[in-house]
Amino acid sequence: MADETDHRLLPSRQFVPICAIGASAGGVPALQNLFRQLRPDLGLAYVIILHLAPDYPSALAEILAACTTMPVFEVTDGPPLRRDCVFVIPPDRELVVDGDSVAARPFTEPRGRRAPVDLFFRSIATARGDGIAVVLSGAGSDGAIGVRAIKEAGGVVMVQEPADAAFGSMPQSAIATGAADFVVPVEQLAERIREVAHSKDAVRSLDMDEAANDLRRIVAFLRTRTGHDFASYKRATVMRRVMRRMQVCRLDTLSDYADHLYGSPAEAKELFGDLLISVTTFFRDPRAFAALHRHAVQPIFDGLDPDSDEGIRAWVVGCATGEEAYSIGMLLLEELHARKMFAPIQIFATDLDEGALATAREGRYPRTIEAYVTEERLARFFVDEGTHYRVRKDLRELVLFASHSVLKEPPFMRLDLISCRNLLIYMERSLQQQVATLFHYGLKPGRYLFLGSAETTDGSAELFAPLDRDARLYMARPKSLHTLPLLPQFAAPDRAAGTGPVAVVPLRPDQTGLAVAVHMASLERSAPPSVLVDDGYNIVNLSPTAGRFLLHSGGPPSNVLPIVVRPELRLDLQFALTRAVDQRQPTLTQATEVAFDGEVRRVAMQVLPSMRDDRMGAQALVLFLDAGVVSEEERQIARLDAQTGDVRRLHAELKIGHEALVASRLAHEASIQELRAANEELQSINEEYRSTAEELETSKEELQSINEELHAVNADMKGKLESISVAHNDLQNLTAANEVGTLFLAGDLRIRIFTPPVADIFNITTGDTGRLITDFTHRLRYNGLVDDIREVLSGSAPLEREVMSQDGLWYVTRLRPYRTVDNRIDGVVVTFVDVSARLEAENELSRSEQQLRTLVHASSQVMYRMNADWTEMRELFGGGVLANTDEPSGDWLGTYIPADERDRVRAAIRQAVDTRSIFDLEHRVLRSDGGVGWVHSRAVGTFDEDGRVTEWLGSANDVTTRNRAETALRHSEERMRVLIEGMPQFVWRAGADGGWTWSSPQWTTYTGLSEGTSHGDGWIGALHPDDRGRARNALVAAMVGGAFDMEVRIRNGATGVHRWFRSRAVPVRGEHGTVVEWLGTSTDVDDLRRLQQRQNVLVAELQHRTRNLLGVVRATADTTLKSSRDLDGFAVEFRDRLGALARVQGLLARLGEGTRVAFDDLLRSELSAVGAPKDEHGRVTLDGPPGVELRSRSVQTLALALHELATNAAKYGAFKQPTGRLAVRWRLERPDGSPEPWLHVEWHESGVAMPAEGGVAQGGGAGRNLIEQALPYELGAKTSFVMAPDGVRCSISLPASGRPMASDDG
Amino acid sequence: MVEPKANLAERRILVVEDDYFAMRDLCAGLERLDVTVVGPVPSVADALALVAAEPRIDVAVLDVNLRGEQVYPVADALAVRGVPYVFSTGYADDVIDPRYRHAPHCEKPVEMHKVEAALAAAIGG
Repeated sequence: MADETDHRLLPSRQFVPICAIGASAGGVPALQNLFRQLRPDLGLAYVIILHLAPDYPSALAEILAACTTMPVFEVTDGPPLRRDCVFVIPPDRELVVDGDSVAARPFTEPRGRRAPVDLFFRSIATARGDGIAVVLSGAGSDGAIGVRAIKEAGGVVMVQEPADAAFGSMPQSAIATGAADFVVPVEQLAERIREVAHSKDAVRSLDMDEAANDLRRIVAFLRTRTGHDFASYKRATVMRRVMRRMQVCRLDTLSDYADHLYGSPAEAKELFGDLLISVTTFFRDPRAFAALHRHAVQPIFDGLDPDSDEGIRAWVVGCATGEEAYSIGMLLLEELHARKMFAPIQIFATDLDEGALATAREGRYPRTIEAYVTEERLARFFVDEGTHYRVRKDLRELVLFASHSVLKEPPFMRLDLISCRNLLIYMERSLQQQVATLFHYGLKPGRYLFLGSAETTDGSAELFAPLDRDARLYMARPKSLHTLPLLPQFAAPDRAAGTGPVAVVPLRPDQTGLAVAVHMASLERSAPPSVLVDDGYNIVNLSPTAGRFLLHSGGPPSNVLPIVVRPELRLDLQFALTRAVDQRQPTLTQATEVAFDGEVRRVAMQVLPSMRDDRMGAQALVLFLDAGVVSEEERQIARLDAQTGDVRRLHAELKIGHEALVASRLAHEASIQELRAANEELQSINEEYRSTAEELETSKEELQSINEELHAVNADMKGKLESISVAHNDLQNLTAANEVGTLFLAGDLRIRIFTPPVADIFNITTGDTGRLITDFTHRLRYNGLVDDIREVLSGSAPLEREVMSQDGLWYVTRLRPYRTVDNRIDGVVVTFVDVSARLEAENELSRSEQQLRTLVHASSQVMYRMNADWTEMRELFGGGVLANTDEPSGDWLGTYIPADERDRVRAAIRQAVDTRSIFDLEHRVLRSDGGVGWVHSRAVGTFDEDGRVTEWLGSANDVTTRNRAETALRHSEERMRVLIEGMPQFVWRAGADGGWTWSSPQWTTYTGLSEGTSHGDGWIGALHPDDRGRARNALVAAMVGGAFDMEVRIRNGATGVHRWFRSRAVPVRGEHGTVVEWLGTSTDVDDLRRLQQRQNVLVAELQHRTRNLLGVVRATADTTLKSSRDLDGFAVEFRDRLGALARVQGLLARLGEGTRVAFDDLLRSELSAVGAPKDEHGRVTLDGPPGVELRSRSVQTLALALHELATNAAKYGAFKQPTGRLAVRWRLERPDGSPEPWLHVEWHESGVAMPAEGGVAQGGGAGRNLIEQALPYELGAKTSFVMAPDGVRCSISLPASGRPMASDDG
Repeated sequence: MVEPKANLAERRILVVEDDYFAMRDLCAGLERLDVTVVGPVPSVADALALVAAEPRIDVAVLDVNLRGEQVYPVADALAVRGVPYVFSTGYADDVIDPRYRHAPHCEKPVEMHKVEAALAAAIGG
């Protein structure tokens, strides 16, 4: 693990923690439920993504606001996320998060391909790398891709349990991705969210230094558990995944988690899975795929050798759930088809995550992939399975999925394309370079490497050339590498990482002291040239001057020292190296003459085994010791020395042997190289076999499941066999038990099976099975039997014969073809049914029927038979009432039913036929005597064995007479009812005990009491409470006295007002004079009573007035008597005054109610009564408003006063004297403070010669007294009366009613 | 019949009567009996004012119907003072409110001897 400081260790530290909730159908109740339980102080910002109708405003915010105390916002434009707030998606928008703000933007995908939950989850994963994602009820699969992204980024995923959700499809899809950390019902979600939020807080406050230690512990433990070393993975990545697991496990510190990990194998597996999780989609980064197609796929096809059967090979490293591999497969297939070529394509797809591989192998993806895969590709490469798409077979078969570690296992070889996206980013740089080398090794030269958007091969620029930097597409440089590069984990998973081939470290002056440097430099100069080789004799390092001992020959440059060393040295070197490497023995060779350019030098070699430790493998150091130039003379001497014959000969032999050895050695080395190459090839092939083996393992599992199915089918077959066996037994028993003689004959008339009764007819026994039936005699009088059998065999319809046996029994013999399942006639089945008893019964029945028929004819009832739907009358016996029908008749309705009755009859028939019930109707008929009568008709259906009606049998009674009487009674009752209901009185009936049994509707209408409520003594409830006791008493009295008559008040139910009613009842007596019931009436007498009362008042008033009037008359008489000189004078004067009184009474009597006597009318009346001159010559002037109304009680006294004035004027004054004039002026005034107006009247006579003072009074005593005394007393009037010299002056002021032509008091 | 004059002499008698002529007859008759007439007054309001103001009233003659008003409030006021009264009325007996039927009454047109007897009965009772 690199201990570099990584600021992205806790990427979400500065962000508000987010809890994203995705839901669709059925999500609102789930959300309500969730928010009711969520504590409002968890410190999370909740963002809710719901699939909303785009055209309608959403009420979601209001709905949720009612469920939680947290503020709820609808996201409009980029609000900052706040803790403990709820943010709701608006309609027709998708949400993305950026830092701490959420943006709502119009949908980028067309309707039908939108997956807003996925989009938002992924934006959280990208922008924040943390958070809680919750998937609630919903149809479809939105969210499935998003939760994987969330999990990959370190977030926690919770899913509502599908069984708990109204629509379980969305949760199920999310669970199917394997990304769900919690699957719980909504009730428990709130608690989980709380725990995770708490754990998240704890994780944030971790001490990073301690964490690093614990993390090392965790990684080390994981390596022992799983064999995978994540030490070279970036610490931030590992940390993020570990912290995610801590949240899921609800542990607060890394050391707790480490303990938990030690104790739980399952957790190690979970963590391993989390570390491996990667997110991918189909055609991720479409631009890169376009580049891939243009720059890689097309050239691969261009360079395809049609004659080679190698085809195209690709390797998808870290394929996860397979989308990448399938995407590349689609590209290749499309290109293949576009070019109409045929070439084998093989895609190896590898990953460590077995769970992901299982998903990939199944090739089943949620519908949301619609967002990434075009419609043509969906149709071309996928099968629509409703909620999911499944990869079609041709694409599936291209891809081999295998569990494979790119770091631990040998790579695939001879590849055209390697796709390794988003794997390198998790690795340290050095590991990246090694993997790049590995890829270079696996690729054919000039072929392609496809990386993720954040990855490059810049660290290995000598291996790969960029083709499209943006698309991260690289080409392997053509460079020969003969060795498989070592990887830290390659074939040695337990070996520590980071050791490469050991090189001699060049001395660097800056690292050493000066003296040392001088020493080392001179040593370097004077030391013999040397080479360091490994155990494969590969040159590891050369000293600066060693080069001249090497001589490259033709062919590819080699790295192996014994090949490239000068030929003269090879043999000795080979031998010495073997000793050094294998036996760890140093060797000093004999000096050998070596031909350099132009000179020959003597060279010896010292080969020393390396002193490094064992871990490095064996190494050897070769020192070349130059013994100086061999002069020509020395060579000559040497030659001379060897002039001896033996030496010459031996030398020659040695040389021949040496040459042979060199040749064989070269051959040997060549074959070693070949073997090495073959070995590598085999290793790769081995890998492929392993992958294939895994595929086969999968296939084997499928075969096993097929095997299981076969087992099941087998068991099923066994069961069927048993049931066949049972059926066979049943058949045997059936045959034995059957009393119908049944004979099965084969097509050649041989006996197959027969039942026991057949033995009574044919002389056969069980042993005769298989013999010809024609060999046996039978006891039937049926000579044509064999002919009939042959006829049926030839394919005719089944035959039926009634035949008699020789002993007088009758059989029905049926012959039917025996048909096989494929409808071939393969014999005959002959049955013999003994019908002797039935025939006997039939005869008996026939006799009985004849008797019945006779009886029917004799009956006076009408009897008839109808067909099933009554369209035809089969028979009718009229019984003397109706005409008979002997032949079936279709027009029976016309014959028997009057035209206006037919509809009713038809309706009753339809009812009976439809319900299969009894026809029962009284209806009119046309009688045989030509009249119309009534019958009561009943008919019953007869049924066949299938329950179908075969015919109807019916009878009818003549009820004409009875019906007439009933009709008359009904009419009478109807009239009575109309009468009773039409009259204003209530009519009621009571039982002998007085309890009501019936009341006419008027009673209910008036009282509001229903008839039922009024029954018994319920009617008393409608009476005035004061009258109820009286009514009960009267009822008791009626029981004794035999009559009921009283007046009571009855409440009107609608108005609540009581009105007076007179209730009377008389008993109805039975035959013996006992009271059977009471008939009563109640008559409204309220108006009558009111009128009577008013009359009484009026009579009293009249009396009062009369008496008062008489008082006035008496007073008048007294007054007149006093003033009269004689009886004659009295008579005249008294009569006048009575006349005035009478006029006033007349005026008063004529008035209706509410009208008043007007002053001017009164005045004119009195003036005209005394014969006042008409208004001629201006003698009389009347001046004042007309119609001034007088109070009624004022009228009489005022009239008398006016009368006195007028009489006086007539006798002595203005009217008497020719020069006299009278002016009467009146006016109406309302004095201040007075509630009523006053009438002021001025009586002004003039031109009158007045008698001398003290003379005879002008009869004025009485008048004056009236004016001066009575008016003030009675009316409160103000008056004056003056005898002026030229006539009387009188003024009267009195309260008037004040309202011309209106009413006041009575 | 007891000689009534001795009882009535010097008495102060309140007359409540709205009809001028009837009042005139009654007052004339009463003055002949040597009594002092208090009033007369034609209305309930005048009568109540008089009853309240007059220091001494021995007995009263009350017309039942005064310009449409019933005289009973005056009767009540008199009863409070313990003054007996007599009704004069143009109505039949049963028109008098049952509560006041205990008081003597005379029918109109009044005859003086009946009034005298009624007054004597009222005082004596």
